[in-house]
Amino acid sequence: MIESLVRARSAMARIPEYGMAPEGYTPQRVAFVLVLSPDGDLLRCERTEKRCSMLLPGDGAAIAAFDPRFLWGGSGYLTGAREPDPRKADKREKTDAEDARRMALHLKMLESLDSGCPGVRAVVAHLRKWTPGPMADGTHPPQGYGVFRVEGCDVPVHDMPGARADWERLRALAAAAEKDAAPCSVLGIPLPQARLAFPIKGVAGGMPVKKLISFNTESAESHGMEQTANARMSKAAAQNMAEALNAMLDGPLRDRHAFRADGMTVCVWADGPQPAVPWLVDMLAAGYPSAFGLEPERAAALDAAHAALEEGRWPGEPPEAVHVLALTAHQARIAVRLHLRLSPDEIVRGILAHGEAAGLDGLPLAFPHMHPMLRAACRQKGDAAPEPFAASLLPALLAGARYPDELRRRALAVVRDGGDVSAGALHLVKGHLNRNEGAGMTKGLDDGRTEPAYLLGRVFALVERVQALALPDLNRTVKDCFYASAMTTPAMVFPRLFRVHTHHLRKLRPGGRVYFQKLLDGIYGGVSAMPRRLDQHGQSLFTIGYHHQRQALFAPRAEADEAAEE
Amino acid sequence: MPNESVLLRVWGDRAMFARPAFKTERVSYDFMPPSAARGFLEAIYWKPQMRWVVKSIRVMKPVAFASFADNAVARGVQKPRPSEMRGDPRDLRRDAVEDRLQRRSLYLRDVEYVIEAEVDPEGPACLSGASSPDGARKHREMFLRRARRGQFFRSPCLGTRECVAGFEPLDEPPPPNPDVPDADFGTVYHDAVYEPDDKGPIIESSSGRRCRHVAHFFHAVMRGGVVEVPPLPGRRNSL
Repeated sequence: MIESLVRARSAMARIPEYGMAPEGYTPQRVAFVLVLSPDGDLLRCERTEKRCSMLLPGDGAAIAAFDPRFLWGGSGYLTGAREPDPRKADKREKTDAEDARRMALHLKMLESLDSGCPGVRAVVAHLRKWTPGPMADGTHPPQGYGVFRVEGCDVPVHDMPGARADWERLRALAAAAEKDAAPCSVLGIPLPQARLAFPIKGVAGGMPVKKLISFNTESAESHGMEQTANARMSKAAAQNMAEALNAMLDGPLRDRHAFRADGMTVCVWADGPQPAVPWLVDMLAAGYPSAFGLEPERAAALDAAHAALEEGRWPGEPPEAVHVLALTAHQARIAVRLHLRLSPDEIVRGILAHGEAAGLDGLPLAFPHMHPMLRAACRQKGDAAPEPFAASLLPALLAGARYPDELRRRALAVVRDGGDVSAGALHLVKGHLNRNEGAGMTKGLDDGRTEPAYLLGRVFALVERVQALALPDLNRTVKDCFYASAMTTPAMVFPRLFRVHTHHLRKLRPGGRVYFQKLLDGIYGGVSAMPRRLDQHGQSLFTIGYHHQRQALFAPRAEADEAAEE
Repeated sequence: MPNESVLLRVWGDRAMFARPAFKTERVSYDFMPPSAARGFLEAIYWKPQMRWVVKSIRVMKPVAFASFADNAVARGVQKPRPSEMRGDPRDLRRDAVEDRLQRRSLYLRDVEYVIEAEVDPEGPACLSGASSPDGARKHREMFLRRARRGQFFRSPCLGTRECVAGFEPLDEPPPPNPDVPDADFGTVYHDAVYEPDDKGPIIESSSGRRCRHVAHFFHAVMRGGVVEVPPLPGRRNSL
């Protein structure tokens, strides 16, 4: 997984829309620019536009207290002083001393380079002769990061060609000076090890700052190592992994990679030059609030993908592999709930198998979506699924795995408690019957099935239909009153249903009466013994039998209409 | 199969071979790494005069994962400092309820492996450097007798102690499972080498020398259900 993310980072860096910085640079918000003369005199401080962002040399924001960044930083690193905070007046002396020390460190780093760039020389001259403190007008630079610019130049000092070359030289020197090169657990070669983990953005839940590689407990440390050193990862691997994840979960193209499903964040990417698989994300995310209002281009691409899948092929150019990663956050840690690595062929086969296992005639989707199947386990509309079942349902949708037993149990419990027999519940129940229990259910009515539970479901649909024809204006039908109990204890309910059914039959016209009576006899005649109770398997068969018969009761009318027109 | 190799079939409902980067919220490797296989063999039989060298690992069932929540403790049991020993004993108390750490782990589900390993009779206790010609066969036979009788020094497990395992020795390697496709598992932890280091945090129990733990990794590729394990660079001194 991490190796794939490292490769994905390289692919994303070549696609401008991701907005990824080249290696060794980081995008940061810049609040001010210090304008210097070529001799290093501080001329003025210019505020930048609101939310101005620049690509600055460095791996990220300064995380250590004394860690100067190359030609940028807070006012402490640039002028040796900052705006005094009246709330911390008692600590002002200590803060001033720290800021002066920061400026000295910055100067020391720049002097070590002996740069030939006029901009860098101007900054060195400024830091040499500047006394830590406010500017000439008594003010301090604003809060935030600042950069330098030489009067008469259009670009900041760090963007000057000489400064960029100096930065690369500094990076090479730092890499050569690293003493703790050790085998990397991701790349397999000796590299400088990561000491601190990088935060991951865009994962739902938990604290604002969360990390995937986290050793914030003593019990996770071993062999005398502390914190992220236990990960045995190189700094390059850790950083590239974090940048790739952040780009997919929180970057400008996050809607092509990630969606939220019941408290879980799901991320999809591909191995290859094009890391995004938008149609797969749209297919998996369909029904979730984040997926509402799909753009016309994405909707058309999704339709084209459906058409290609029905033909058994991958839409477009197939990548080497596709990864699906499900993450949940707990406090400051991120847990991996699922990681699938599948080839395009495996995904196509998996989706087709899912459509075959869970698809039903009369329901609109050839490939049932995840969201309605998860909603089937919720008692109230708008509830999140009680347990993040998305992680256990995704392998069933994509990789031919078994459907989660607990999800089927909860869906049937919702139906028993008076809930609707939703499309999601039907898909889930049929998929579970076929794949987990080998029931061999078809998409449409199967006259050859003899299981009593299936036949009783058909009978119930028949009774409901007759009632609807006899008494069309009822507020509560037999389904509202008896479905749950018929599904669980048929021996107690069906005798009463048959009595009611007899009254309804009398209200039909003779032709209809004979038709439905014959149909009922044909179905009920196959029930050798009325079961007292139905278990989960029986309740599932009942549900599917009910749906099959309901769909079949509408089909003869359409065929009869076609015959009449001919 | 060479005479000094042994074949051991191991199986279990769950396995947790935690990746080094995911030790808190654990994520398992896709298969049994060589260090876990070595640990399994050592739990059944090991002596200071020998060491186990894992040659290959056969994956007999398709790789499948399951996510579980488990309770652990956030702090380890640290050796108390002398000042703590002289103080109030109640300060040494560790309460798992107060220190509860709930986390999610991604385990392997329904696993079965066949470990092929051989005995290297030059263990750390072999000071002369010369091995007995019968050493490898002797240790192998002792291991097989114990494995057939189900004996072990400590309960062998599949990565962590809650992953209970069964085992039995085999005479011949089994045929590959056609449901297990070829796979590239990427960089996988091989085993550790303890290199002498005067400032190292680890003390070798047999010699009292300080050393440091150096992890080695290899590129694991499964073909026909078999992952061939390359030799470990450098000598390993068992602790």
